[in-house]
Amino acid sequence: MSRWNKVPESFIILDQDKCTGCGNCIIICGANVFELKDKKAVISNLNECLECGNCEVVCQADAIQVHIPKAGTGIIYECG
Amino acid sequence: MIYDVIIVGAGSNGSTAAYFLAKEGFKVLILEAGNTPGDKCHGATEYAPGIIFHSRPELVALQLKVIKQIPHLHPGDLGKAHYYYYVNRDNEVVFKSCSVAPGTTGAEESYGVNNQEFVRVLTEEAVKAGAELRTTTKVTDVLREGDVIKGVITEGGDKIQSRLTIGADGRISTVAKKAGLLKKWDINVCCYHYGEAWKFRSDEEMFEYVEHARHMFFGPTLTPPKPWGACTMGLRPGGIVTVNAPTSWTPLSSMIAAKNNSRHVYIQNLYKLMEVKRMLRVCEGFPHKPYQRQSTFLPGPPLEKPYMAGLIICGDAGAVGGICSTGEKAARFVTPLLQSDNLSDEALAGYTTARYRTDIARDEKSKKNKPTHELSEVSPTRIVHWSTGAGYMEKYDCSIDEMVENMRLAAVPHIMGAPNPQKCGEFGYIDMGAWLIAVKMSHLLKLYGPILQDPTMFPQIMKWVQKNEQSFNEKKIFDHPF
Ligand SMILES: Cc1cc2nc3c(=O)[nH]c(=O)nc-3n(C[C@H](O)[C@H](O)[C@H](O)COP(=O)(O)OP(=O)(O)OC[C@H]3O[C@@H](n4cnc5c(N)ncnc54)[C@H](O)[C@@H]3O)c2cc1C
Ligand code: SF4
Ligand code: SF4
Repeated sequence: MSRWNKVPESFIILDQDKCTGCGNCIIICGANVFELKDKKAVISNLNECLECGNCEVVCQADAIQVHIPKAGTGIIYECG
Repeated sequence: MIYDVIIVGAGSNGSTAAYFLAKEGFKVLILEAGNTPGDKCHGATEYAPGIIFHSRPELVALQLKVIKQIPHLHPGDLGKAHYYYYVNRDNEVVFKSCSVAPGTTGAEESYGVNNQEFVRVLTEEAVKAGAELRTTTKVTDVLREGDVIKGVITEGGDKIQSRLTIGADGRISTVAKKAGLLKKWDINVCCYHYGEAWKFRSDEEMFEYVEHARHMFFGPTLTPPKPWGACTMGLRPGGIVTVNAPTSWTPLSSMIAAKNNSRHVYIQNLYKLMEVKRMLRVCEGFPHKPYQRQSTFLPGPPLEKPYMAGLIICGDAGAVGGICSTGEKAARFVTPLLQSDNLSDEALAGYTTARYRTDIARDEKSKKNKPTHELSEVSPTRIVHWSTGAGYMEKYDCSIDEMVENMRLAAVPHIMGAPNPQKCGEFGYIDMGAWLIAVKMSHLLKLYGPILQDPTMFPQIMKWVQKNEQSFNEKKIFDHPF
């Protein structure tokens, strides 16, 4: 099972002011972390994050920053 | 103290680099954010070292040494190694063929392993070779003097110096980002790889539900609206089956049009196939709650360039994904530069054009021609990752034919039998399934030319394929069209 060690900080930062509501992050995120609410992306499912960084590289508005979670926390893969 | 090399990330690429550099006698420090190497490592469906890395015997030896120490499935564990399912527009399997049977080709040297176990043992080998490892240590920044990277800063505030830093920190590369090398990617031409894993209660139970194949490819027509798609399913020790859906053949713009992400566009279609349902219905949580999910960018996050003075980026972090490949290449490439202490931007630039090149040399003793392999500078050819094919087609408005040709050039020349291997780049990452489907499709292309691109002709092509089924099955290997 991929497990999840609770991340103490919010490691994905979404800047609502910069977000243009383009939906790129929603399309690229295989884990359904984002939702579009009132034409802005919101993080609704952070615990599902696979730490792939895709959302950051496709957000042309620079509204998303993904940091790797604190040492020893976040996703733990079991089978590849 | 100043290390010769700091490697950020004990994934398959970082640990491979660490192993080869430590063996050369350099002072190597690996910094890993996870509690154990492998915790954060996803991906990899099949390991076929001798095939994929045929031009790098030392890497093959290292991979096999590791594989032998961990649980793995061998093609011999099941009757046939690979099966191909051709799926029509109505999402039905219309034809099944097996391309490789164990014992007939090098494919018997392919293994199904879990990347986590592989990485754990690989890192142990690096440590045995002399590398120092610190786990639960996250790197948060690079040490920079002007335009030169001089080491890293950890979460705990430690500043650690090195002559060279290797960023092998995976798809969220702090090193690439802090060095200012990360760029944005145009969503219309990028591809990514999403996968799910399901769990049977045991290996035995898994074998019961899978008909004589350890690796299955579904395509090429699975994915609407473009008739390209290659989902793969692979078996792993511990009763695990992994399902992978590279968005390789369909540019994301079609997902945007479908207003959905790959889980819905690809994987859900796959789960509707009767053949797949039959297999997976006994897995826990099927079809809604997979045992595990994983995702990565292909071919890795876009970088300005994967090097600068004092720094090399490799693996997923460095825009080229794939197991061990660029880690080994980076180690080989920097070894003479570390020895001569020339780690300037210009010196490291060769990293992007250096390719493993195979030449045939006459061995005077045995009077036989022997292949020699070396890492050398070649004129940069148009290296196009197969997975970017679809986006490429769309962006440059090229034909399927051209795309197949590009994929062929991008792939390992040996497998693809390219007419002029010296001209081809060498690419570590190749998904055998997508490649074989491409090969088969290009075979069909040769025979049928443009009609393949006409969807109404599809039934006729299937007829041709069915006519050839017998010879596929008799020969057990697929005739190489190139
Ligand atoms: C579904 C799927 C299927 C795939 N199938 C295949 C396949 O069949 N064949 C193939 O060759 N490849 C395949 N891949 C790709 C392959 O898995 C990856 O390219 C490869 O594992 C990347 O290895 P890496 O060493 O570059 O990075 P990773 O394995 O991601 O390792 C990076 C390491 O760096 C550590 N790290 C990250 N940030 C920091 C930090 N700031 N400080 C310290 N440590 C840090 C992480 O904890 C991790 O251990 C697949 C990928 C996916 C998602
Ligand atoms: S990709 Fe960026 S701009 Fe577009 S919806 Fe997501 S956060 Fe907003
Ligand atoms: S890092 Fe990947 S899984 Fe996590 S939110 Fe971004 S796209 Fe989704």
